[in-house]
Amino acid sequence: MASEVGGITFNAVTVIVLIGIVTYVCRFIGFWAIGFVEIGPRLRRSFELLPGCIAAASALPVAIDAGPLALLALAIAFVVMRAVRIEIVAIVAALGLIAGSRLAG
Amino acid sequence: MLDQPERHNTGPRIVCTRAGMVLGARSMLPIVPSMAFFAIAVGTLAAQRGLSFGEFALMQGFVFAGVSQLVALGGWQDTWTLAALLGILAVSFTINSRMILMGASLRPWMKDQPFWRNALSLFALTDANWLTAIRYHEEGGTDVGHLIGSGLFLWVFWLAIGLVGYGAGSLIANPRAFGLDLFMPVFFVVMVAPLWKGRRHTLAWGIAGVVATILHAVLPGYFYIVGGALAGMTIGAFYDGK
Repeated sequence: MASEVGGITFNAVTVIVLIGIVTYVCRFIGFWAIGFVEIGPRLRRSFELLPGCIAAASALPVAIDAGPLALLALAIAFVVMRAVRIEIVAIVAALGLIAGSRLAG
Repeated sequence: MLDQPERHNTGPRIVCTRAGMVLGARSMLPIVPSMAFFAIAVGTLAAQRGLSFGEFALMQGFVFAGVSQLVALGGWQDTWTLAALLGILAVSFTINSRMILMGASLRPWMKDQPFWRNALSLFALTDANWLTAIRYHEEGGTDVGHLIGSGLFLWVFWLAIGLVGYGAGSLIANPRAFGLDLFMPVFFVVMVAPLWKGRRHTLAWGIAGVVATILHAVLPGYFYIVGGALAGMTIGAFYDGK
């Protein structure tokens, strides 16, 4: 993108600090703003569903882009974690499948 | 889960202790290997993109958000015009806007804690420590120190290992070969798997995934994450079955 506004440029430190501020605003503002709302049973229920919703919304599009093997890896991650409840085992099982097939192929 | 409000009303007091912080920090241990890999990859990319050591240390310590750092570094410029700056800020905001929802979900638990301590502990809010803290809280834990300890642990770890990755240059020549691009998806699925409870979760999580996939296909950028999550959590909240 070319500069339109009188050729103003910004150095890396400014850019990093601004990204950091935007990120912190995201971290804080939801916690702060929801304080003005009464948290009823429905909102509480939606919060209970939130971890899985964020996980699904982050993971599924990426996995679909990456192909069937990635979807299989996610299924394995879910099943292994439900079965053994040890995070590292489930992570290694899923990423091991991906890494194994990529290094092999 | 509908009986939870009653349980909380009569439940144990919300505290913040050093023991809770240690417990939180320890809860991060299982993800240390994968997180190290991730931090090294970010450090390597920063070195390749020409950030100075100090600039990268600032980013690692002050931004402290892996996925948005990867994306920012992917499009890193030598000179930043106003348009490029606003672009990267908008992208950072949409990627990290899921943390608006995450922060809000912590309110019922943390609302009676001192304002400044909440403001500080939310600085270290990440997907990983939020997910473990939520699980800890769902299993009956009330110690807010859990979130703080895990966040602090991750912050120190992320900074230290990232700098190692920066110094080591091309320690990981081809991160994709090791499945690094799928680390976050796999990690997310592993962390939430124990939280699955039945039809309502299947419905909400399914809708979140499908809506996000559609948004990802039709919209540029990263709005799909928060868009999908909002759709799933809203519809799930209005589903009255189990």
